[in-house]
Amino acid sequence: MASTLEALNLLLQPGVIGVILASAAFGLFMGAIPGLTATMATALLVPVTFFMDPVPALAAIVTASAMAIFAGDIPGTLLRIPGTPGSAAYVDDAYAMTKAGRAELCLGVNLCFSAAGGLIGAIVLLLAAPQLAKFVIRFGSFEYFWLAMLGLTCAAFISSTSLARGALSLLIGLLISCIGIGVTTGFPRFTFGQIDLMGGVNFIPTMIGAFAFSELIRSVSSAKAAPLGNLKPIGNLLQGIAATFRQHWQRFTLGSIVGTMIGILPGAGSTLAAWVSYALSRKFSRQPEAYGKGSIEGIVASTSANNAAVSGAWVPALVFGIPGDAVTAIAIGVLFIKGLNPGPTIFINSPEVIDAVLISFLLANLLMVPFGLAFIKLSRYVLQVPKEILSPLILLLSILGAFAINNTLFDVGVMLVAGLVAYVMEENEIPIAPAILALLLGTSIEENFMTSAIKSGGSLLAFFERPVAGVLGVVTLSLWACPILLHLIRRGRALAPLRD
Amino acid sequence: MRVNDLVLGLASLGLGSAVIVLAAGFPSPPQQAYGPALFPTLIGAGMAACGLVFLFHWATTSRGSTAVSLPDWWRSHSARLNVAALVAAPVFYLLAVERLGFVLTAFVCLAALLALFHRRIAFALVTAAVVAPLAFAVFTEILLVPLPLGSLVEPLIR
Repeated sequence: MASTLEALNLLLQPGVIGVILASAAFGLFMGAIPGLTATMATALLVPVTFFMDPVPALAAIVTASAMAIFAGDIPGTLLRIPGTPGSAAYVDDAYAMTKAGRAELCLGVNLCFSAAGGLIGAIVLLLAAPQLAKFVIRFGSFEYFWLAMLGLTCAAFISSTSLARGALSLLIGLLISCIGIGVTTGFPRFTFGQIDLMGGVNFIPTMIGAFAFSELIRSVSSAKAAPLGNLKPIGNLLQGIAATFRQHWQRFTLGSIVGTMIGILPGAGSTLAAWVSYALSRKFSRQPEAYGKGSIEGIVASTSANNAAVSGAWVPALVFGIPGDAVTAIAIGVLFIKGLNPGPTIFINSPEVIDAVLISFLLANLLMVPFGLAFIKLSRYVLQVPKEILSPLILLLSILGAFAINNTLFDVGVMLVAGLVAYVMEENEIPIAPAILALLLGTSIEENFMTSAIKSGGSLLAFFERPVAGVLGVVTLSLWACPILLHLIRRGRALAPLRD
Repeated sequence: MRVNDLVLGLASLGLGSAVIVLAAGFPSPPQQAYGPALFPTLIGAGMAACGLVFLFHWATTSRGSTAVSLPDWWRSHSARLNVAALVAAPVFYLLAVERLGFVLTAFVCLAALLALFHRRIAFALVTAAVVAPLAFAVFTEILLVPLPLGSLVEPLIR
């Protein structure tokens, strides 16, 4: 209790409040521009935090990342371009709602459920951090392999078109993730002598190309002169939220819990949390066919999940010094610079740091609603501008966003190629979402598989020996087997009357 | 550019086979059961399998469909021009930015695209002239992204 009071005392100083407000604005801006991510926002904050005490430094990072993950929903909803990878799971539903004239409800839902999901994540962090960490520390490469495979399976099943097309998209993503120097063997694959390909194809420029550039092609090729966003004045963003909550509170709970759990797992962050929640929500839905076409259920689940994961990622970071996602990886670096070593000792030596992180999350998610409201209203004015003017600006921003990640022109080329490939894929009803997720998870899957295979001496049965790995493995394999079995059963039933 | 299941199937089959062939050339580490060739081989096999599914689907349902059909907007001259310009802009950026620097390259791209899409030349030039330096300032000063000054332009500034 004393540490909580001390943390409050440290946080509620005018200077620190000012820092929190400024990093909130910064996080919103970074999240809303496609290509500028929460990770980048955090990385850019590090030099600024050199001059601060540990508590305000962590508060700045927490606030910026929480705001950025929400802000990624705004361009996703209004322009079908996810501002951060965490918003990509439900970008189709959100954009469909905008086209149907329900953008305010969608944005309001994104705002309120993001804040609420983040709050749930923070509360879980507060209550369960030590216990959860004890469970997760036993996860090894086998468990991580199956978890990533489960994530991929969800992605393939999210796609609403034929399973073969979803699988092909997945395989394209996996193939691209193989490019570069191999994970465990150090052998360069599919680089064709190009130095720029040695490090592999970067995820962010590919995502910008696949979502932003391909959307631009569609936009400039259509004859309609209407602006990208609709011209209606900005309505009440909070209208209908209470009703949505009453209708979909189970989805919200599902998303928040799943999001926090996935955030807790090292290396799995808000992007995976959003995808898995979306897929689970669809699995349990009474109207799965509506997903991808404007289903608010999916949006509720995933928008809460990605914000909950932001808080969850701090559990392993604080307890073990193992980052839960890229943002916490940077935060751990900041803690070391400040002379605070993350790990069990931090709970004993500097408990006010833990409490400061928690209180910052609570503050950030509460601030999210007024800040987010103001920011959404401002961003709408941008969309009143006709698409003929907006498209070149978005293209410039896409080029800048693709360049800014690694400061290499090669990534701009990646963006262009990814955009063209994604355009052709979507013209042929091959979904791009599974490819994007496969690109994200491919390295992790292979690395964990190889590590596990080396540990087990090549035995595949070892992948099911450990209890958690066994459960995850069986679930994943049955998800794969189900559609094939169902298809065979249906064909058997269809043929049966002919036989008689 | 839509293709029918025959073309898609052949393309998947071809790509999958190419991947398997390339992967076969990867060395296998002596003491490990699996090497760098494993995953690409599995991926190639999966792609080939998808290709076979598409071919089977084509053979049983849609034999009569056209192989390659161009998108609807191809018929419109202005739409073709728009898309060509949209694709040409990043290509131009890639080729020119190191020499001309970000501000000039971005100005040219923006002005050209705005003029083409919006058809008001003065507006295009003014907007590009404002946005290009502004973007440069924001990204280099605030976000600390090292945008190129341009090898032709830099000596003039320094």
